[in-house]
Amino acid sequence: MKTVLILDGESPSFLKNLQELAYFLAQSGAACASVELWLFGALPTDFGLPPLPLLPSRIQRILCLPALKSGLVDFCLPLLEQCYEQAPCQLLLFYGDHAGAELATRLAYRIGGASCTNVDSAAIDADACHVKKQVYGNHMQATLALRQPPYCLSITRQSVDARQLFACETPEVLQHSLRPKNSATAVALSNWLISAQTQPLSVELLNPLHHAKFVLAVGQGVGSAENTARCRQLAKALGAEFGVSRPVAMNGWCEMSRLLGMSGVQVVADICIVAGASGSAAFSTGIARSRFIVAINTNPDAPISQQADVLIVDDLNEFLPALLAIMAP
Amino acid sequence: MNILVCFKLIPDFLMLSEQAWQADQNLAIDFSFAKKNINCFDESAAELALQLQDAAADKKYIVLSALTVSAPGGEVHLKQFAALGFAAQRVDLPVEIDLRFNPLAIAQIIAAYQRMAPQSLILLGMQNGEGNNMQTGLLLAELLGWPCLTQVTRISQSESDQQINLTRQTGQGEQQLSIKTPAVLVVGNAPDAPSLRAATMMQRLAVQQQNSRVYSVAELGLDWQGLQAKSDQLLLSLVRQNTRRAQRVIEGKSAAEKAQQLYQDYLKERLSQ
Repeated sequence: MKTVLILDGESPSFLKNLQELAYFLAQSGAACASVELWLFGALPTDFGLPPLPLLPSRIQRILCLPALKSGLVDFCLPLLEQCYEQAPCQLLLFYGDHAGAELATRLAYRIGGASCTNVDSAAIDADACHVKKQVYGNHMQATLALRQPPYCLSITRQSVDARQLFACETPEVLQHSLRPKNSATAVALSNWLISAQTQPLSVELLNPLHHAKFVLAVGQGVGSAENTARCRQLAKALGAEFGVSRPVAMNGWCEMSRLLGMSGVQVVADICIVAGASGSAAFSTGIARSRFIVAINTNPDAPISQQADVLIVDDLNEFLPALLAIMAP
Repeated sequence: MNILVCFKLIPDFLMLSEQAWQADQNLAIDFSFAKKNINCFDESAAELALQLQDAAADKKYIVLSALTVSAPGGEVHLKQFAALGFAAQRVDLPVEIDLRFNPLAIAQIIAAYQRMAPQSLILLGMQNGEGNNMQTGLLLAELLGWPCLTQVTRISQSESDQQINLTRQTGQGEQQLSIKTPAVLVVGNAPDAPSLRAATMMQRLAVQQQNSRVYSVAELGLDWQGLQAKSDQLLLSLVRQNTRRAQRVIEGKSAAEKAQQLYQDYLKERLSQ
């Protein structure tokens, strides 16, 4: 089975994202005859692969494609189709951000394959591809069989054990030499987009939570924009990244990039302290992969208590400053 | 400008007891007694469409429709859309048809409706908690051959009739786009449209006697057998997700005492690793 891992090579967390994709592949049991990387964006000349899990086959080729234009998937799909036509493969894995889910779905449709998003794990062999994912607001786990290859999967966050990573050889890096096959298609693509301008986030704000190891998350119990800002300062003083539940973000009390949950970031933190959040199923999706969860809530019966390793029944406005006084006196 | 908002009715999962989360022999969960709500992202999509209409120089220029694929029983929500000025419609979903993991079928139904009633924009929410597919809008764009803009948070009219301006959230930052219609817009977390506005009493009374248009798939030139056969996913099992953890409770006379115990017993070593 030929496998391709597809990522945004210009993402600040590209190397860690690659480790998670490789970990997913290693766990799937897929017997890969070969593995390739297709990356959007240029790589530095001295690029070296990070330590990776043991894969069925070493990575044999890295193909660099043009950077995602304005982050618009429509513009890179024809190129991916051409890459597939030139080098057909049975399994294509995409990182689980919104662009990855879109690429997996739309590319599978175009090349006659099957797709699935938000895949937690998979069991893949020559005859079948079975995937597991969370459904019904994280209350149930579904196992689905994908009907026909090529299988295009976008994955959820993977908790990679650093002890399972090994140094690996960096293969040849090729720059793409593909041109849009159909000039009429290229014209049609460019006709609908009149203008695009991105207000880029600063480096500090790009995916701040994504690979954070210590997270302080607050929910609607924080009560106000002012208190959200106070808790954010507390998080910084504690050395934790700051995350929020959907009500907090939708109230405009914090920027959307700090949203944790089904529609936001899913952290794989070592420690996640959750304060003033009831623990809705959608929010829980964002923290469920954390190794250790502490819940602080005035209601001992809030759903979050069942998802916590440790529960403290108290007011976050009293507890968090008390914790800071101990950790950073 | 014709704008279609597609919405899904989702059961309130919090109404189920632990015992109710059991799949039957058809791998279905019984939600018959659970209240149904409009999926929150679809609500945002509908609210953005209404805001676009509010801002139009001539409100009649923006013609709004709402469409859902569902079994009977969602009339109160259809009436809500009708009261807000949408032409609210439903495609009847027989109880024996399972589309939970078949977003392509939903997309094909919407595409068939679009061929019958052409639109300039089709808006959908980006995901719902039931199937967690996140694919319907994307597949719809593929079927129609339209551009697809995801993570949309704001929409506004442009100077030209065949253009709109929109804002979307990307991993790199906020993006302002000006595009030509038609297009599929997939709405994400939109702080300017967190929920669908409530209709006034007058608006609700005005549509009290109206019945929503209900279509069969046959009227749209489709059949259920064909729609189900094209699904690229087959559900094999559905099991309860056990997310319970240890739930050790830290007791203490004060916040300071509990914080001390938390740090000494649980955090200190973990933070040093």
